[in-house]
Amino acid sequence: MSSRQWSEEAIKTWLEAQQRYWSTLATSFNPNATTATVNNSQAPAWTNDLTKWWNTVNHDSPPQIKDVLNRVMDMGKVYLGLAEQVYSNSKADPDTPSIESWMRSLENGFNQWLQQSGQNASQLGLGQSVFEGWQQLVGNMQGMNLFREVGAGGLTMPNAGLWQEHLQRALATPSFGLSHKSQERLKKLATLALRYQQALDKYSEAFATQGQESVQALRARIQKLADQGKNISSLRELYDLWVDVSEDTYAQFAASEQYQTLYGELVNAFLLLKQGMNEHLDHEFKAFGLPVRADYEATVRKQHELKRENNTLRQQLRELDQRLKRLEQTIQTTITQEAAK
Amino acid sequence: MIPFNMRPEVLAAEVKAFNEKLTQGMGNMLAMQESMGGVTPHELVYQEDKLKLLHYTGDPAVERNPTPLLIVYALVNRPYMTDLQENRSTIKGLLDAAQDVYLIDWGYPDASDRYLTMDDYLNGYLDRCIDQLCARHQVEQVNLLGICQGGAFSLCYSALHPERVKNLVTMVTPVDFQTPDNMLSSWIQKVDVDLMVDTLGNIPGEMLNWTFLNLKPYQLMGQKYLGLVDMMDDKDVLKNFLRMEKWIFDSPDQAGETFRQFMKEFFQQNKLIKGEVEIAGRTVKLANVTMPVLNIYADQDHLVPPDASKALAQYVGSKDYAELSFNGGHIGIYVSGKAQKMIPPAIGYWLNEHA
Repeated sequence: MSSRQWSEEAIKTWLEAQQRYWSTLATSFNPNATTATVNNSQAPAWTNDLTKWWNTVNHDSPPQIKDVLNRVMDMGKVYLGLAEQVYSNSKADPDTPSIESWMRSLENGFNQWLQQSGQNASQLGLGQSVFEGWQQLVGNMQGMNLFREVGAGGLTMPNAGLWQEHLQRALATPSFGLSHKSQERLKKLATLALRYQQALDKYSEAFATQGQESVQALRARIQKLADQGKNISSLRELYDLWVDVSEDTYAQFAASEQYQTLYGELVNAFLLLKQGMNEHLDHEFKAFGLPVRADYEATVRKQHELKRENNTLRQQLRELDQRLKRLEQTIQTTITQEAAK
Repeated sequence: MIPFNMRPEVLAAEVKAFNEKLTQGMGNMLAMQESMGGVTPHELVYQEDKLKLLHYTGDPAVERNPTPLLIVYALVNRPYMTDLQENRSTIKGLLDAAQDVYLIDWGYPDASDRYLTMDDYLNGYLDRCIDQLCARHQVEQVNLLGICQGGAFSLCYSALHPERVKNLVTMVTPVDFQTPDNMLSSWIQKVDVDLMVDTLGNIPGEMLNWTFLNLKPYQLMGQKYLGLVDMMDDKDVLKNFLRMEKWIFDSPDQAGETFRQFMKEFFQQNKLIKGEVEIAGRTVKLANVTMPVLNIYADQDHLVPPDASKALAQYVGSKDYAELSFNGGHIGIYVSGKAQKMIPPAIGYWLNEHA
């Protein structure tokens, strides 16, 4: 179905199908239940179900809402992930309040991220979107998609194969001309890639550390609520509290000099790598006798200078025109006055 | 005792309710047409390269301020924020306040615009737009309304060409770029801006967007969408949400050389308040901004902190300087119901008083 075919009838059919899907899913844990319940022996897979559901409809969604729907689904997965964790923890350890177990699993996630230097962004909890946003940004830049995986298992990481493979692929780009010069360029590029990975590692480590701090802050906030005799009565309240505390902790981190340095190093390391990639590609294109970025930019710069000159000349022309008109008026006035004498 | 220990079936019921709301709301989402920014009737009166100068026609029966009001929006994001929907339009409010409103739409720079400088934007495009208005209205001066970065541009222009600006209004405009609570400024301090522009050319709008969203990532990239699921059954609310969403992610790329100058001289070196910004060989001195100035800022602005705007009072040369504080945020000042009632009428009143 194309995006233009979302007629009222199609929407109705689609909705009915989706409602049947959710209804079946909700009762599958206990077919006799009138409201959704969960079989105690079975761990819920709500996030997975949402993902499956979304995968069935995503490619058909209208383009004008596709991005926003993707963002809604990303948030939904985090929210349902929270529900799953709280539920599973309460089953695994009935003597410990489910929220405490959940906070412990959050801390474990951050610890694992630190120990394995960021293999799985979902370990960052709510911070996942920040990290993935950067990866997406990097991946969308021309020629940089292969570096999107950096930080999700880099050279020094247990699953380094993936990234090494990408780097090897980049290094295997056909070289032309004298090979030793090409080798030097590739070595330089590899060095820049490593520098970028190190900057990203430092950034993500600091991010995970502030994540750990946010769990401590959340624990303190919950304790304060308990001291005040207040109660968290829903998953949504817990989610909102989690967001609130995470935002506060992040704001302190993001305003610090430490963050300023990490952010600067990350962006600069990425830019150096991108610059290295540009140079590498330029060398290869030159060897083919193709125009390169510098040639194009020289043309654009020349065109820009001509346009500025053109604007200056137009302005001068306008001013001359105005002066001429004034002169003509003066002459006309003088002639009229002379004639009147 | 920890005040949360939900029973599994209660949790499951909440999840089920969420899924149901999502499924039902999806019907409304799918039926939504693409939202278009800019709702008030307007005409194109001048065009140059990608720039468009728009005139908002309004009710012809209304007697308007004889001095045209030119809105100078930021290069970041799109100017239809000022005219997002019928009941959320600063422009409509200004028309209702008897102003003759024009707006510069800078367009979407592409690779051919990489070498556009602030000189090109101010002494070129903006100056020529003012030429057009002066010729059209047979006047020597215009009223300027600068928004955010457009406010900083308007200040520079007014300092360089004070004779052409009758009154200046600045809205959520950064002046002191290094107040302690300016997170954006803090982040850019150690970024090698030269390397960035030399490497990327134009700066991708997507990069700026990522930066802005990271000011409040948990709310802006997560919680907001959970809130949307709660509102999806209301078509009007959903429509408004999608309009705003479209605007947020509608980020033009930034012309490389202008970005270089703005980031280095304004953010990193804070030269605007030092009187050291140079444009086309001329120094921008805020002391030369001698026309009446109305400076409007938002108390809860997380992008341009209030102190960053209020600093103008210390540096501006005008003897007729006024401030207006809005109890809201950087975006709310254009789109909130409270802002509609307060901001455009106040600007209109002030401009009419200074006619």
